[in-house]
Amino acid sequence: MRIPVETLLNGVARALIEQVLPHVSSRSARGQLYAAVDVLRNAARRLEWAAAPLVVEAESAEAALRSAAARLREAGEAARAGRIEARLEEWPAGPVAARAEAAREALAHAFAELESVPPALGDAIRPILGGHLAAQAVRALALLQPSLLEEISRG
Amino acid sequence: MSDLAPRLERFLAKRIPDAAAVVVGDVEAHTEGFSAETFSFRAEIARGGAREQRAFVLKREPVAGLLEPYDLEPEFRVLHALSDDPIPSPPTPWFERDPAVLERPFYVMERLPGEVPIPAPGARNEGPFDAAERAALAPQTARALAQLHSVDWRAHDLAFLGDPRAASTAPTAAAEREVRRWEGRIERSGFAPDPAVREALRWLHAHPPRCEETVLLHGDYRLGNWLVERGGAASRLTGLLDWEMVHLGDPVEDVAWCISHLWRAGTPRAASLVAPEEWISHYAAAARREVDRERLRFWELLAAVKMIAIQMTGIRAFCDGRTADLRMAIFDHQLAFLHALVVGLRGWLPLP
Repeated sequence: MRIPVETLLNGVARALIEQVLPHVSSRSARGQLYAAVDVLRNAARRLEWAAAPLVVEAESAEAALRSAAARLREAGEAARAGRIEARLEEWPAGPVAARAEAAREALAHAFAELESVPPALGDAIRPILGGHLAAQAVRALALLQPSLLEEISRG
Repeated sequence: MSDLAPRLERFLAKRIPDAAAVVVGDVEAHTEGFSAETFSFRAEIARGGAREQRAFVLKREPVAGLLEPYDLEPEFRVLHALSDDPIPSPPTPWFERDPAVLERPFYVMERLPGEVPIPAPGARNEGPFDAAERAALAPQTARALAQLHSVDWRAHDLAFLGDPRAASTAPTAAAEREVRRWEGRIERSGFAPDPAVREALRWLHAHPPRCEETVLLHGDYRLGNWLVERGGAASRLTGLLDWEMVHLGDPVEDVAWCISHLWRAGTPRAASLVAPEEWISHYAAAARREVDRERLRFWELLAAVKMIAIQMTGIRAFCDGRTADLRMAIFDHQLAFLHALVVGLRGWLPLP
């Protein structure tokens, strides 16, 4: 997630005040709305995005990168393999968000390394990294709630 | 803006000089579009002893949003130029930049009949159309796009949109320009793109397709930007909306955007209408142009990247507090769908 939790919750509170409240006439509903804003504002500084999905993402990326590096080494591309592995060693021990970000950077770097290997080798190794991206996409989708896009569009 | 109606009355009175009086009513903000602000309204225009009822739609530049920085003037100039063409674009008579009128630039177009189908699965996971509507609308939407692509943009003074072949004689100029355009938007969002997106951009840079012709592109031709009058087999496409991304380029770009998984509304069908290959066949027959599958593959991937760039722009506007529109915030979790689509288009994840 790109929006910090505090920014997100304060943004929701702002939208409720600016865009919803002026259209709510019931006193009890207005009271509930103010209570919601109060809850959001106070939760905003106490919450952060869940760490568990980031831990899984970093572990999955690391496994894919080590596997890709091993295949490169087998194919005589030891220097490239070493550069990919060196990046892994530089990952911060924590916080977990920084570790996940380092994993994403390392993946982008590994794909760049594959640009200058023989095409057949690159084609053989890309699916290893792609497999991680696919698994990561599936994990991210699994966290989603059923979309309200239709209701949002219709109003 | 609570005084929109009287402001519009003053504006219309100036633009319709023979009007003795203009009364504006039924002003309604619309939420279907996620970009420019859209309002519909009615105007009763008195002139020559008669009273005329007209329905209009107003589009105003938002303070911040998905396609910032905004400039509605190119879109207006295209719509204005096409106002008398048989293409079902709304006749668009007026553009106003003076902030004294409605604070931000806007244009006014005629309201066309029909409704905007929402690109969502619906209760039965069938998308917005029934079988008869799908059969009627698939060839119409393909023909309308072919018709748009046949517009003589030079004769309509639309060269200001920028012919990619004018800047570069390379036959890949259109594709390269669009990759740069959307990559630049991602960079300006200030967010690091997902590694899948970075890999996709790398592939797109390495595989720009050749295109020997330059046509007028809608840029956002899809379910959700069509006006439709429903009526079973008699259903009609009555309007093409939201021309904010209009530009010149490769016709396959519009085809790929239209058939993209982005707009299938939970169905396996292009625009929830018919199988993608069938829609392409309708288009190819109407345009008398073969749709090269390698070009299509490039533009389908770029379509997903383009949508990611658009959503990241909206997320940035929300993050910076430049908009309180929560619809920008939902894109932060919606990006998961787009990342999955990119991974699927690269062949690493099965696509529906």
